[in-house]
Amino acid sequence: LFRDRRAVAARGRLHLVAELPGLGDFEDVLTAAKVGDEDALRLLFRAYQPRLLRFLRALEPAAADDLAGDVWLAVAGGLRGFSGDEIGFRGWLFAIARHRLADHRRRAARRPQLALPADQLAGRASADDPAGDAVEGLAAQAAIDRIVSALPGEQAEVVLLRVVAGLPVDEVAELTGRSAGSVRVIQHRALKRLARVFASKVVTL
Amino acid sequence: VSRDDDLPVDVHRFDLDDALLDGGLLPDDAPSASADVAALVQAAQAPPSPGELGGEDRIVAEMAAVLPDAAGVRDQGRTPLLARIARAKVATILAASVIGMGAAAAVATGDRPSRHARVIEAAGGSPTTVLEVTIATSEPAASATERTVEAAATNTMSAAARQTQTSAEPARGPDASGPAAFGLCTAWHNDRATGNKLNAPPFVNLAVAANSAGKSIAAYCDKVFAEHQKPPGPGNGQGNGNGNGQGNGNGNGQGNGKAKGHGNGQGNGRGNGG
Repeated sequence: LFRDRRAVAARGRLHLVAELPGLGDFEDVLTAAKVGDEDALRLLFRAYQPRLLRFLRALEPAAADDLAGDVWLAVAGGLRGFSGDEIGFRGWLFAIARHRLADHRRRAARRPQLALPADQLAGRASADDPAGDAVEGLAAQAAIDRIVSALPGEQAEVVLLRVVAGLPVDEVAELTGRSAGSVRVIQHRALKRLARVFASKVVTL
Repeated sequence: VSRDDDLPVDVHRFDLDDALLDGGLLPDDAPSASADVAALVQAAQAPPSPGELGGEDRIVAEMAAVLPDAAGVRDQGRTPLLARIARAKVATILAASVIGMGAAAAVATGDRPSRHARVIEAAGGSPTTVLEVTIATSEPAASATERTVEAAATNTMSAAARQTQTSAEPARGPDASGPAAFGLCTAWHNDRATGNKLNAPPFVNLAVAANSAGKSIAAYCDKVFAEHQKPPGPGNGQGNGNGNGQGNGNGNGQGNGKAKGHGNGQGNGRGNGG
């Protein structure tokens, strides 16, 4: 049915990097970025901003762009102290995003008219019937919104981190404070639910 | 609790799950029940659209502003001539320090702890202990110069980092995280006192080493100095600085001024004229 799992996983990781012409060797880019090299910072931004934005827009659409800016500033602030590989950087980036998101929601809780609580995400979208239209030709954000709207919050977050952030199971486990086994169970249940919700739709991407 | 949550988990499907979520499984290759999900994942991982990169210039500029001395780094790092001149300055400074080893200097400090400095020959990173001096520093002046020096050093590192993307030229200069660290820090402090800019490879290496340790150059050097000042053992409370008192002979560097509690620059200088 599919090829060796490691090869598939590697393809998944490369997929993200392949979108970024000129990223080159990640370690070199990171080293240059740490001392304020704008070319290197630009490469990092182009590499990760689209996925970061999709992640934030799926969870907090009204504030996503501002939150993304905050995340990058936080990255700049901590960049000199960061050490790790590309996967580690991605995990760090999305960990910051989750924290910024949580901060935003705490603030929003004091001003409830400004944002939707996370627990209402599924309800918000399900009211529009996530499987209402054919999946064919969906734009990236629309596809992500469909996924999120069909899942409860816990499953939605795990799937977002796996699909949008492109993080491996171990990294998601560390980020969310769960065991790898727990993440696998959650993602498995999410996929079963998605398969059931969208089973009747014709998909010809 | 949903109906799905009650389903037993088929562990044999975990690999399929990973393939689906990683985007490595195309809809045509997926089982019919998962083809729709595979299509959704593929769509979710589509290449970026132009709208997703909005604000790039502003955010990159803000990031560069947060990172230390980014602006000065760029302008200087792209001028090879300046780098060559600075390199010559550093070589001159190091040479002058070695030539001046005949005097075991003791300089009274102000309200800031003094630093013992041992000049180490930078070339090759092999330590050649020739001199012990005590450097008195003034905090405000040091801070101002420090910023300038760090800017120059990190500037060159930025250029060097770019160079590594296009060539396989090995790094030059001593390894600032190794035995040469003390000598480089000494030279760095000496040059800081004169207000010169240091953007030569040895100081780039120093900046890299400091950055790797998550410290500023000053903090990194403080740590290096502190490590060299650790007492060799209890009961050894004095240090002897041997130098050439006549100024025209060979100085034998046998200094042992690392003991804790030793007064600043109060070693015993013994002439060894040749």
